[in-house]
Amino acid sequence: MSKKFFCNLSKSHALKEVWARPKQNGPLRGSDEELMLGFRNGDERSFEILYRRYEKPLFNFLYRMVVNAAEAESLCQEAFYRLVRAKTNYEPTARFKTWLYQIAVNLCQDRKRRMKHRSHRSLDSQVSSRQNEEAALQDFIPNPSADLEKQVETAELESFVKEEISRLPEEEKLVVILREYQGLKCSEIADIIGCPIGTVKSHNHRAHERLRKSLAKYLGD
Amino acid sequence: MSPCENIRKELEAFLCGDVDETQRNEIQHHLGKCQECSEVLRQLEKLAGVLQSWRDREPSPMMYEKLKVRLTKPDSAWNRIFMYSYGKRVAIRFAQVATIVILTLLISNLLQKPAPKASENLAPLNFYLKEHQGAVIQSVSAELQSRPATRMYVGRDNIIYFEFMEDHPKFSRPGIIFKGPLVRNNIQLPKAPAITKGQPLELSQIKNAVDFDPVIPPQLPHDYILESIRKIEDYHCLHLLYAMGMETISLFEQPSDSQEGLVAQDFREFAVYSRSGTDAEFDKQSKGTILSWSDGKLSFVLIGGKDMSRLMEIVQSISSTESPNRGHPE
Repeated sequence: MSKKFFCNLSKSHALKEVWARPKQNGPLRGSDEELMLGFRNGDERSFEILYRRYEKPLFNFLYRMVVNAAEAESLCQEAFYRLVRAKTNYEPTARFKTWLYQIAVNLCQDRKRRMKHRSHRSLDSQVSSRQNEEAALQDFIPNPSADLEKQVETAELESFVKEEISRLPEEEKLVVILREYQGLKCSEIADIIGCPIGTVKSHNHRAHERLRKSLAKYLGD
Repeated sequence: MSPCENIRKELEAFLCGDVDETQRNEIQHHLGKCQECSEVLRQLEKLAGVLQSWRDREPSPMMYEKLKVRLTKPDSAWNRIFMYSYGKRVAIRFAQVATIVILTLLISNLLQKPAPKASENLAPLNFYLKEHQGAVIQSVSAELQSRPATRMYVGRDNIIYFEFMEDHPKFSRPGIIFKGPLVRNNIQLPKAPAITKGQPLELSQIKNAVDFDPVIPPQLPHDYILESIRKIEDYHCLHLLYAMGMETISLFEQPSDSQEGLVAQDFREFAVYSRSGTDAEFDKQSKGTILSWSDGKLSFVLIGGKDMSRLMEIVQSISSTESPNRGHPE
């Protein structure tokens, strides 16, 4: 990424307008690939559209992978940052969605490697963990306008599901999250992870078998 | 693997519609007759719903702002280095420079003249080492004192400085300052040429004893008489000994191209070795001057206790004569 790009980026009035513009709720036009090509050719507006399109799905994917909102935000920001920095390398031969999730998966793997070398928790992670716990507790706080008992049950189930998915082996967890929450096909997941479809299906099958057993009490009539 | 297991592996994909037409028909057909697989499918359907209880969260609105700030900030040097595209360019540039440096080194090595063989420049040193090995060894042994005597293998690269020195109390010797490791092994003192051995010859026997025409110095210091002529054993070398009382002058002669005895090239020019010292006894017995030279055909070594000028007169008288009847015995 050239220095010139950053100078242009910071000086560009058009971009400042884009940053300052409030969220648009209207339909976003153009395919991901078209928008990314536009961004590669200097159209910063295209990037904003892409960002709005993928901000929430990507954040939630990362949140389910790391089960920590603050860390997920940090990783999500890093993923978009890397996307901007590597925009000149983007070729429309690859699907934009696949590319973006590849970046995110790599970030998760980097994080896991870093965590492996840590024998202790950093102060940040403790704070994050506490924040996460607080967030989880908030889920249990009943909404006066709704059915109290049902809300407690839902929050309890969510917490249980979260725990069971987090317990899955890393590969199985990744496949289940991409499959169940991101709605990706096995072939897309195979592209992102870089393994054969058969392997993805095996991971998916094993993960569902584990979850079927661990969540059996919620699957009865 | 049973048909049920095969089908169950695909059930989740079947639920999501992520199977092709053939697979879908096959699964539907199996489900129609297998109660257990139908139950698994039902559970998977329910599981999908249960999993959705882990609801999506809204990302912080500040995330966008943070990204904006980060993107508009100039990048740090470290980030630039580790960024893929920048890193790739730097790596390519580095590889280019490294290739040029390596090629330059290789070419310069190829073009470099091979180092001269050690023997080419070692004639004076070889001469010294060969002819004075005993002195060197004794000198080294004396300096090492308690250590066992050693033989030193000296290469050209080990020599820093080379000149004649007279600073040793007992042995006048060329001084060599060595560097680098010296391999020291147990030594055996080399045998000195047995110049005192050999059969004394009469003048008439000289021509038969050696295959060259000996030269008799026509001019000698006053009162010196020819005491003996010997052929040195194992060498094509004659030793003419002149004496006046206790004082002697020795003249050694040998063909310049002789393959035996002293090396001819070592006598191609005058060389002077003078012995001196503080040891009175040593002075009395061994003080002397050695001259060596060659006239092309013969090589001569003259050793005497007289001063240099007297010995030079003998040398000049020998040089002025012509073989085979260059001189007449006194």
